[in-house]
Amino acid sequence: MTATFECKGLSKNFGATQALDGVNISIAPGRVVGLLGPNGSGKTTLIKLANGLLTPSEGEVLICGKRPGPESKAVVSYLPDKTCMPLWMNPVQLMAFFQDFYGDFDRQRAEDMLQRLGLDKKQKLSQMSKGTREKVQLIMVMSRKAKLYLLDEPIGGVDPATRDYILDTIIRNYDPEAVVIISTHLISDVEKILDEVLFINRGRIMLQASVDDIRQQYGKSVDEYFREVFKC
Amino acid sequence: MLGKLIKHEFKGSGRTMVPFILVCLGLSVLAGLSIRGMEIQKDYGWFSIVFGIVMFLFVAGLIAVCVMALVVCIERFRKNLLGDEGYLMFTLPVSVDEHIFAKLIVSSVWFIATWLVCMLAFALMFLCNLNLIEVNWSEISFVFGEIWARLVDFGLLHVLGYFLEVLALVFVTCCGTCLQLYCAMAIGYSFSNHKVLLSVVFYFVISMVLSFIQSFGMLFLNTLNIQPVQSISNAGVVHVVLLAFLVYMLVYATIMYIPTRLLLKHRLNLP
Repeated sequence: MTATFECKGLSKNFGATQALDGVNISIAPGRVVGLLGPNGSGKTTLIKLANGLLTPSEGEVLICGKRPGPESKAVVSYLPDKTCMPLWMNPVQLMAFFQDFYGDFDRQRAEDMLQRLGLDKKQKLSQMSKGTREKVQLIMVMSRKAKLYLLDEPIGGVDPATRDYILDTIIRNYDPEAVVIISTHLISDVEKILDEVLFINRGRIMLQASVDDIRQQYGKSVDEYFREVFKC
Repeated sequence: MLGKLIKHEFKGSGRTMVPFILVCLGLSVLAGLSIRGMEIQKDYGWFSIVFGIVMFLFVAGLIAVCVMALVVCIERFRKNLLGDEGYLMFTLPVSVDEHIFAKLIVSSVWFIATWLVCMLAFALMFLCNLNLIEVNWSEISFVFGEIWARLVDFGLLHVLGYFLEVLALVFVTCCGTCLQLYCAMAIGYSFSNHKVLLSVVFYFVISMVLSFIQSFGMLFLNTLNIQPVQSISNAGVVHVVLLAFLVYMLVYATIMYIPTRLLLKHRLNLP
């Protein structure tokens, strides 16, 4: 079976700084993966490379066997760690935009989520708070029936109640054949939905293991084990 | 996908351009009516102040529309592709070429639209005062008839050819101008700091290099001592000159396009 997400000897340099160093990853369909690491470990760089926003210095990244390009972007749903939606748009305009470009966008699902979170469909993003914008952005991203979801800090800027709703939304909405990669610092919050974790530090993958294996092998939760590994 | 990008680009830029165009056309009607008022009143007291203000606003409106077309061209590329919105745009299932072409086509259309709006504004101002001017329609129809007869004598195909060549030249020139701006921004934004400043610097550097190449090219052409080809008619010479300019502008636009494309594809540096 072709891996949904694969990195082969992936490296990325920014001048003299090595952000990623010979990363090898293979993730099969149907997994929810936590990409965990301290600040500056290379998480965002890895996600940007997968989206074709950066070009690898060495190696390659493959999405369903294809290098990043228009074809791979059609099956990747990406949530960046900042507001990227045009602020002059409102959710109705955003839904029309997503519908135009993504054949897998489920408008009804987006409408339902907007209603459930009590968001005004006619309110411009520029008039919304930062947290509300993040919710709208996540709704757009999770309303696609993509093969790979790349979520960079999806719960960083929202309150704990919304955090639970978002994690619940991720689990309820994703296709069992899809892969979800969540990059976050809030490990204890996401741990309950993860199948697998990737520990990354200084551009290198230190560990790729299932959550169950970590619990059995080390007798600790992922959050506790992470704190032990990355103790300052 | 290019069509969809163009549609959304028109929506994004039209939000700024359409109100400016409508205000400009509204001001041209006001200017026309104030001229009419001046003619009727013959009293140059307080109305002359109103007339002065309206005419000032009309001219300012025309300048503002032209400036806004340039600002929109720069800002749409900068914010939509090189700013935070770039995370959304560059993860759409479209190629870099489609992104550049969508921006280019829409910006060029706005540039051409602003010139048409300026002409329309003057026409509206004139139309508001049509009944104040003694129009001799028979004389006008005679003049137009004469022009038409001359055009037929000259060759309608030539005239049509000139029209299409000038149209293409205007469009390609607009594209080249936009691409030089895009190229400078693509270079400036590939650096980590002082992105705007570097974009401005690179715009002038590109302009200087181009003018140097142009001067060098002209000198080179002079040394060739090209003699006019006797077999080509005067009408044909105009075609040759227009087509030569068109080719020159196409080369210029292509030279600006290549680094822009390469930088957006391989050196994208989103904030």
